[in-house]
Amino acid sequence: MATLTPTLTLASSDMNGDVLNLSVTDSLSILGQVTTKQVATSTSSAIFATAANYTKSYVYLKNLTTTAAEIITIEKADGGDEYMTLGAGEFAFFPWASIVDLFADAAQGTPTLEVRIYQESAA
Amino acid sequence: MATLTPTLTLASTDIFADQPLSLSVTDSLTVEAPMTDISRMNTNDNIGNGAGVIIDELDTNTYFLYIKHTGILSSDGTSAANATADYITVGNEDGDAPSKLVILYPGEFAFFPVQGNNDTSDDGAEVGGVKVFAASANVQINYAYWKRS
Repeated sequence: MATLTPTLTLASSDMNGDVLNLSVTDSLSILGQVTTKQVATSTSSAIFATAANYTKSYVYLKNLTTTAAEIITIEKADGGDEYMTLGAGEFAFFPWASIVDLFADAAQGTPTLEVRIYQESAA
Repeated sequence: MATLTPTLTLASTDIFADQPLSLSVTDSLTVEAPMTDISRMNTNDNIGNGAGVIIDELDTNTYFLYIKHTGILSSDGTSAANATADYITVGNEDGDAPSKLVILYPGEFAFFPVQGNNDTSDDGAEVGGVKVFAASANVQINYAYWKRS
């Protein structure tokens, strides 16, 4: 059994008239597959994680581009529900229910999407 | 406007046999109202857009969303949620199964930029927003959102 420790901090000194300084961590058991890859996205929506190939997993995504217009949308299918929009350098971390595929669709260009998937159960 | 600095680290000493995992990523995000500070709600609370709705389905803005399952039942605010039965899912406001992308068990959290609704006709084809759904008992969550400037 392996343990993955994610820690998220959210900080700001100039919002809400108060200092934001949140730190949250967890200890996650990872018994299954681990996928680490970089995907060349394009303006044609393409799948990068097939739900049927995973059970519940923890997903990390980052848009590696430095070009502001190269935004990557994460969606269930081409033209389907759009969940997230990753600008240049932006990242996401979430427990994925693995009931719907994950597609990436770039607004422009061919930005690279970093993908890391950590499956909780062995199968 | 304000600056939000999120930092995520992913660490493990035993996930691979031959090397540890030590990933750290940070960003500097310019945000503006509407936004919240860290807040708390029950999964059946109505904070203005309907029970369990954090971001309205017709909102076209992009938000950075933080959400955590506190592991506390909303019935009394103190009892621990069941570790396996009392999970929540996070999806678009319509709550159809394919929209429930994120699943949170007690103690788990997520941070991601939410796509704003791009179907302002509200015909149900591309419902947006963010809503939390309790699988069993209602629980308390912590959340915060900031509009991308």
